[in-house]
Amino acid sequence: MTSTIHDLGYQRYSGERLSMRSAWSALFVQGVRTMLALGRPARSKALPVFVLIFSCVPAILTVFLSSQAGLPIRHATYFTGVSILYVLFAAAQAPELFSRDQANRVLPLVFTRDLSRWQYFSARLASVVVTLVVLAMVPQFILWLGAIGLADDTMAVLRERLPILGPILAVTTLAGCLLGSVSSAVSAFTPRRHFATAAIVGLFIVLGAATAALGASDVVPMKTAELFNPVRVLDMSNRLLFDEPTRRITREAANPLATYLAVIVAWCAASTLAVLWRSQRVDA
Amino acid sequence: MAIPEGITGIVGANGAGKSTFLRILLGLLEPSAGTATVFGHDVVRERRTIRRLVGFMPEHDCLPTDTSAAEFVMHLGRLSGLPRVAARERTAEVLRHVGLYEERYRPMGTYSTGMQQRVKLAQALVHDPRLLVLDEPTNGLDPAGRDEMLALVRRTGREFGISVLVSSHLLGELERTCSTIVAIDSGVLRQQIAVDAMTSEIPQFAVEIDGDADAVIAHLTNAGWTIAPDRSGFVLTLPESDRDTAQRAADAVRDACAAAQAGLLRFERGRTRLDAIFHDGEAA
Repeated sequence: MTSTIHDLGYQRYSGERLSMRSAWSALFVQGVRTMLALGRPARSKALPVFVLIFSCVPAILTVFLSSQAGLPIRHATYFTGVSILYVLFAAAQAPELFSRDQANRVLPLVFTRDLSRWQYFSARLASVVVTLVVLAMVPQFILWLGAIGLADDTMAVLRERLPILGPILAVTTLAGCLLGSVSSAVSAFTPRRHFATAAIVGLFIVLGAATAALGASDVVPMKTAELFNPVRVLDMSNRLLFDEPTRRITREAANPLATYLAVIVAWCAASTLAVLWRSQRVDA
Repeated sequence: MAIPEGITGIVGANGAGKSTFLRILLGLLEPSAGTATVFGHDVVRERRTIRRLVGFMPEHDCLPTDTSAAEFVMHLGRLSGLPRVAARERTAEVLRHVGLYEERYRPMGTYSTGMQQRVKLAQALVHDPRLLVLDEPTNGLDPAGRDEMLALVRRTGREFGISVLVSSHLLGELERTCSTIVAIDSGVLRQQIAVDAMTSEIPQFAVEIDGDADAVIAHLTNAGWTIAPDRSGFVLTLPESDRDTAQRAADAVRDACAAAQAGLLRFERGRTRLDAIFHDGEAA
């Protein structure tokens, strides 16, 4: 029996062509996969897996201790404890999306397709933000489900805990938007991935240190100084949104919730504008 | 200047403005003056319409090293609006067309320059454009690689009805590949020449002499041949285009060289004439 491989030559494509919106979502999905290192080599997966595990360990421990010793399960202070992990994640992964394509000079290929510059950058930005929101949500849901699972009267606790879902969505969205947009803005400006990572970590450290220094001096009251530290602002808004009793912070010492929210929105808006500005000027 | 369908070459020295011209057509750069249209669409106002119709292969490296060709081409297919399944099929199709088989699943960092050029061509073809814009596709290739790439360009342009705009600084390459050639010099489009009309039928010999060229020319002129000296030798124009006349002319050149004791460096039809025409154009 003989077989022949026929060269069919080049085939024209006459099938369906989708809208630009589908191109946007394809880019968005690819971005989320890259953020989580799905379909990437094992060594790229190290950081996302590390962050996912270590951001959840305290939640799992809390649920476990609660089951053994009956300690209360609280959401308000959780973010503060693991925020450094999210900052690290954003700093390491946002440049994967923004800097890499610039370094590899893929942008001319993208911009000669039916996708505008801003559509490309907005899809990237959305990938970073959404991945961070989801990542921050996981341990909060572990706490939430844990509390319900441990209850003797499941329905009663479920009813009691249902209103917490709102604040959970709110705080994780705020954290994802702030950390995601700031790290996107920084990494959109450099094709060098490692520079971007260092710059993002550096920015958050400097802002934290500046806040501490300002607060320690008597020039500015702590209430004002803390507004310069985005992580602190997220932390405070968490405490106020969940409205749980905590030992360290009393309501009187804090700014009104609206102030914190305004600061977060300002960070997000400024970062998004920076990405927009960059999208129109980046070399292609 | 209107560029017809078929394969068109853009020739010019390094820095003459070939890439800039192509980038203007693709809407990657704004023209500083003047207007241009592609398929009747203005390059500034109807950028997006044009982008649906063109595929672009840039001159520079644009391939992420840790991604496989299959993944990369499919991603760009999706960004061109192809549905997922169609994008996968088209990717397989165009990679086979450019001659990439098993290696398509390896990271592109391991590819040779020839393979990388093929992937760059494949990504420009994945969405089945009506016009292919190739910026120096033979850059960095060895002679065999050049021939293969040019054969691929010819096949794509001739057999599949896709118009091709290909730039090169090597006129010889374009002569063999293109049906039309446009010369560009210091950012000015100089001339447009239909290659077929020029190279096939016009009865001329280009001759280059090592020794006393004037003596050879004198001999031939005396024998009644029409001679026009050019930069590197002279051009002998045949009164008739039949084989006999050509044979007699060849004999006459041989005899004239022998009589003048000069060496015959080059004696050919066609090949050098485009060169001569462009040089004349520059002088004019």
